[in-house]
Amino acid sequence: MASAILASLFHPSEVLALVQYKLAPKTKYDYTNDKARERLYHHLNMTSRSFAAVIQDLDEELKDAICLFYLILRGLDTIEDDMTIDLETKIPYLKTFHEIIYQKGWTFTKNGPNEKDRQLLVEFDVVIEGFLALKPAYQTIIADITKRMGNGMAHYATAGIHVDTTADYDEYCHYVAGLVGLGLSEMFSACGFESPMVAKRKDLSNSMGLFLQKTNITRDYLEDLRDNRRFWPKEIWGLYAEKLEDLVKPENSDKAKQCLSHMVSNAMGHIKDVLEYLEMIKNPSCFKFCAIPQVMAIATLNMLHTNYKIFTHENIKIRKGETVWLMKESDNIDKVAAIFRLYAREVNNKSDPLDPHFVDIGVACGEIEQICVGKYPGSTAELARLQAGVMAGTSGSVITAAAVVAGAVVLKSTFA
Amino acid sequence: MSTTKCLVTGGNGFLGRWIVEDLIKRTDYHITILDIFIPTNAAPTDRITYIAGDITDAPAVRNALKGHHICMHVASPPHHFPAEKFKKINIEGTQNVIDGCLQEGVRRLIYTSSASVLQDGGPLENADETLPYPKTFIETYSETKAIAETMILKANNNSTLLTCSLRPSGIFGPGDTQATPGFMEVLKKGQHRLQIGDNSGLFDWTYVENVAYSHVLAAEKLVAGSGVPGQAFFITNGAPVPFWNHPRALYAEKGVVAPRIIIINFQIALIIGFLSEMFSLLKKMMGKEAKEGFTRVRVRYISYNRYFNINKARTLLGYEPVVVYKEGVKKTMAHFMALEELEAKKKA
Repeated sequence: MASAILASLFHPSEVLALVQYKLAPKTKYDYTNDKARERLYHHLNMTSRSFAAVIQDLDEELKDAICLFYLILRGLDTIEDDMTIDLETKIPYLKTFHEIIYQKGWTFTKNGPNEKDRQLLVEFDVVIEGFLALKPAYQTIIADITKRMGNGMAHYATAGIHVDTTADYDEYCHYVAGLVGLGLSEMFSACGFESPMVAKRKDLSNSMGLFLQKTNITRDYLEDLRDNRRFWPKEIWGLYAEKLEDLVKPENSDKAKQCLSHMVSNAMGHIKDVLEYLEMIKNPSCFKFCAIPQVMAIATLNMLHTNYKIFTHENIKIRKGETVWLMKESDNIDKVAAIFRLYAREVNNKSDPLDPHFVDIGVACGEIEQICVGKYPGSTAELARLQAGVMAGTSGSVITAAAVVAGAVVLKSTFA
Repeated sequence: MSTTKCLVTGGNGFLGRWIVEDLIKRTDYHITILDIFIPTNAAPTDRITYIAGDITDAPAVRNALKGHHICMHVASPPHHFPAEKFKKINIEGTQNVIDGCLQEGVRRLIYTSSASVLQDGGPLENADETLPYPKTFIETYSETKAIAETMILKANNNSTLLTCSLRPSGIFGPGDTQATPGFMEVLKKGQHRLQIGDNSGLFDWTYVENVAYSHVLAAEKLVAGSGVPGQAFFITNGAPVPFWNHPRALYAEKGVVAPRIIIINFQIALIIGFLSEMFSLLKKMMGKEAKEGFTRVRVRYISYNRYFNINKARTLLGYEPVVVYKEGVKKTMAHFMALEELEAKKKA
């Protein structure tokens, strides 16, 4: 907390958000009278940093279904990810995982000892128990997505991941993230919270996943490369380097930055769809659940843009304060549109005119602005409010000082 | 089979030349260029005829229109002309064209208006054709364009003359005499480091070939029952960008980028604008010549949002930009850089 406040020192609205977050009474999720459920949410908390909170804030009707959807895909991913399991053993599990989830008592102990989420599969009977207790409509949706994702994984595991064209890139992201969007949308519509249109607009659901995945892939360049994973499409990096790993060479720094802009520009292509999708979501808890990862993605993309650090440092992240602030602000489409406009402007003003994608990124930012002004006129007032917060920071105003004092008080109380 | 004959007023101007070229490329019309200035080396072809003539000379206009089926009224004075000229050319000239068309039985009249007919000094966001003209105009140019456009649209009549009006925003391209040379001038003076405001205002630029193309489409769609007659249409590239991006994109084509941008706050710029207006007023009062430079109107013009909705042109004219904005920037600068090179060679 102390370091988070320090990092946000010049962003008083973030300090404020951090303090509020710290002071807010934590919603207690008490599952003690339901041992099985307690175990499920224990696994959720163990396997996901970012999703655990937003899933638990969902409406009761959807909460368990989405928690199980997440855990099942995480289980599948844990088998796929484990390089200590040979292909012959692995492939049948990936291809039949959608059937396995109907087998009461099934567990899996073949994961290597270092596999991070190994315990989830060891106790997978709990997950299956929970899954079988879900409404049949949810079971069908989850099984269908699991089947498609499992087959996709089996395909990439045998053929290898060769992301050559941008179409390959879209396809890969569809399997690992777009499908999740599709499944969630179907659940939203199935439970009646959202209109049937949400499930029907598969293109928009897919874009929701693609925007997140592409942002992560762009950020994780170095980490993925170290583990010999290559997700940046050759069609893009091939314009700037002979080999993907050449981008890290200091003498290629200019080309690397251009390549990065190209990746950012490609990811930004999905924002239009993201806004259109979020506009459809009416249930407040579903809205936050969908919106939070998206605003984090645009904030991350802004941090990545023109940032050479992604070629030299692993694990770069937005400030904790920024995250908390974004989570607090993402509760309706006007506010979310304002956040997108704010970051789009930052992205544009950071661009280097000599970069080959300067114009493309400018046009993309203009388009975001134009769409938001046209469809979410309320975002203009929200933007002014957000900017007032940001401005107060850059001028190092009194608010900052006050917030620091407040932060100090909180610190004292946490340590006392 | 008789060929369609099309007269283009101002056909020798920046936009006019592009329209003529596009007509040659996309239609089989015979084209007559009516312009106050016909270059001495202009050679008529089997499809192009030249007539030198003044748009404010009614008999000359009528004479030129004889035997034509279509008229594209493109002629308009450049921005730096005095107010009386705007009135004379834009209003009287347009009346002459309408009268000439009616007298000579020309059936289709397409007017080149301007997106600035909506300019009231405030922001324009996703502005479309349903918006009324402003009550007060901030400059004579846009006021006279609006008056002329009203005359044109009023003249629309199913049994005599079909008319429509095109409203391009921020035309630029090879041969451009205003926007791009203006930015090059800024660069020469080293003022490309300055930025007014936070660059949040969007501006709609339109590559000239797209504007020309919209004229060709209008000529073809201007038939009874198409929904086009009597209508105005905004024409843009459909890709508004933050205002300061455009000059930076132009300079970048030359490999020039400001090492550091100096940002002048919008409010402060308004104060500077006011002072400079007062200064030129003072100079005028003392009987000295004063150029209107940095004014508040200009500060607002480049800081506010100014972009349009082109759905009407898309649906009724079937318009879609043929050259995307990025490509337009490249083509424009290729032209201007070649010109500069030529000039440098001449000097040397």
